[in-house]
Amino acid sequence: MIQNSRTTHLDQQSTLAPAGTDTQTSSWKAPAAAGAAIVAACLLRKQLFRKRTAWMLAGVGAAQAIHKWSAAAGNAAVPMRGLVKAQATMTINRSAEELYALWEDVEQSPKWMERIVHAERAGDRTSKWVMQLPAGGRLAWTSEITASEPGKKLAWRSASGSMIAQAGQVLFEPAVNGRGTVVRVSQEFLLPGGKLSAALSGLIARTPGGFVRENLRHFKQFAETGEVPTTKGQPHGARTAGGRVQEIAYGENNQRKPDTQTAVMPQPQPERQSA
Amino acid sequence: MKALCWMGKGSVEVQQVPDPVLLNPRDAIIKVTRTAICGSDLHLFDGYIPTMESGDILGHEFMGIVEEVGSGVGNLKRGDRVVVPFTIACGKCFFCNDQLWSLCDNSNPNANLAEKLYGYSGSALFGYSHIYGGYAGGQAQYVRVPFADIGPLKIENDLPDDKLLFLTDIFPTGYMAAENANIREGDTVAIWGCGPVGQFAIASAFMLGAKRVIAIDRIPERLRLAESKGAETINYSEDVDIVVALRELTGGFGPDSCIDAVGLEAHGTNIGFIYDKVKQTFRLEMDRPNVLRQAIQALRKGGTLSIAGVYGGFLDKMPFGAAFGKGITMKMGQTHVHKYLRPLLERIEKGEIDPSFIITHKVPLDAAPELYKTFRDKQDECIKVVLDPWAAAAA
Repeated sequence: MIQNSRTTHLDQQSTLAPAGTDTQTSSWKAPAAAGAAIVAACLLRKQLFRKRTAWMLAGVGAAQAIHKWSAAAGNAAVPMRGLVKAQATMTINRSAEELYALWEDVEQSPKWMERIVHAERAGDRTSKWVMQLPAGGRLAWTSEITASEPGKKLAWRSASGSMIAQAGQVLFEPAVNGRGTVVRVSQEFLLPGGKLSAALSGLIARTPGGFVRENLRHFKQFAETGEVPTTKGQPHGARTAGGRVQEIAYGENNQRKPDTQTAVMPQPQPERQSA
Repeated sequence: MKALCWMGKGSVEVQQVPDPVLLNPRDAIIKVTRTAICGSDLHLFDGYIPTMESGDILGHEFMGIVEEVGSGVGNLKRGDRVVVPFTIACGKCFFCNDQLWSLCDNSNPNANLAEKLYGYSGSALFGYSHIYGGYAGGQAQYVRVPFADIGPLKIENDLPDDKLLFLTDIFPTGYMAAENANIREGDTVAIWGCGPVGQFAIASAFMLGAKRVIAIDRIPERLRLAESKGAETINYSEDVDIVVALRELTGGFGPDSCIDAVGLEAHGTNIGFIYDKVKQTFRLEMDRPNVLRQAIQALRKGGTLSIAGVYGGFLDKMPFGAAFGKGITMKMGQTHVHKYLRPLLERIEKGEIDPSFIITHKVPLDAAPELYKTFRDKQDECIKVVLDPWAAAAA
């Protein structure tokens, strides 16, 4: 097979693209405001500056955001969110059936998926998710399966009315030479500020691209070794001011909730289980 | 507990830090009974390895007693005596299954950093910068060992720590350097660097059938030690041109294999060394590949260059034309320690080698900061420093 395109697109029933939302934001202000808020939250989280300074910066960002959003409220034609797409591919040393079953086992997701603190099956094709936000606070949404082919493909999107708009799919194909399974994940997010705030979000947590890639890496680590490697919580000596900057620059950036539970590989099931 | 912490270029301190705890199911906590300063720790000490954070605990050569194991470790229990490989490997990925343990896919929590620099990430290492995982090292009283069901080798004999400690890194590293050199019975092998890895490479080259080993260094006690193990030696601070010296010594043929047991902080007396030193000082070059250039030049046609010394970044003025023109083979990389543990332990148990021959200094952990300097500056005939984390500090 000749593969000219390296991008895997989501199905019509999964993608967020035709949802009536423009992929462009009309002004620099919304992304700039979102960016300012993100930078302020980042500084606060890393405790580089004292809280007061960070809150001042956050205030500036928030004021700008309110200004922008109130302006937008009077003009419904101006979309507030931009579509951001990301994808990642890895080869995992497990069978497609095992990996499909593990991905579908949403209750185990918090063990490998970053920032997810709770996930549960809600119905035959729906699940409920809770995410811890980098700046504090939690976000909950319902996700529904839009396509499923056991051992081959799963696709999902957030239910309409959810606070977070995201969709995705994961494809499982046998790898060459018995090396396991090639896993391709594509995800779409509707984000305030579109691509610019997506890029700036790298400062506080991860870019959407980094989020998709690192989650797939954790999934691989979890599926192959039963755990996600970490150094968070290990001892170290006194960090100097320089050391704290170094820690921000290249310290471990795993946003996963710490968990000492080992992976439970679910048995692949021929039929989907009813709720 | 007490631990040796990196506090910036040229600065290490013994500090009181919290004890390590189990963080993952396959972790173990080891009470360290012996640890050592490795030549590659000096690259960290001298600030040549990027992505260090002040406060990081150093040390990747250590052994000890199992203190506690996680729920996923079935093959070890409290009280077991273990030697721990400096490379951290999961034992489950394609690379571990292929015996390429130091290329493990899963052990580096900061794989994304390494991927930016190298394309793909190798395994994590203990106490060796955040690009290599950022794991706290073993120059401490306790250490957390991830994937403890795979790495640590349980010791069933009663040989003293000093004979077993170097299974963690430098003995396998020297051995793999010799194995990578494709030595055939009767070959001549030239080895740059007579530090601990060089000494084990010399011993291993003979084990693998080399007839002659020519060892190159400038430190008299290291050359003497190499000679005592059967090597011929070249003191490069006396001989002007190593390539010429090696050609003469090999009857105009060149060595069949060359081993670089030096790495990125090579010294020299030639113009290449001065060029590298200036560029590295101004951060225009990460590594000083002076030895590599000489080795490529000196190697016989169709010979093998084996690289055990550590390189980190981009190398300048590499004579790739010479490498291509002579059709040489190059092999290199971090040591797949897990693969060599058992066979090399057997050699020690059979008495074929006593690795403790390189030890020149045995001190308490508290003396480590001072010994880092002694070791770096090659003072006091220092070749290998072994640390006891539990010995009382000398008055």
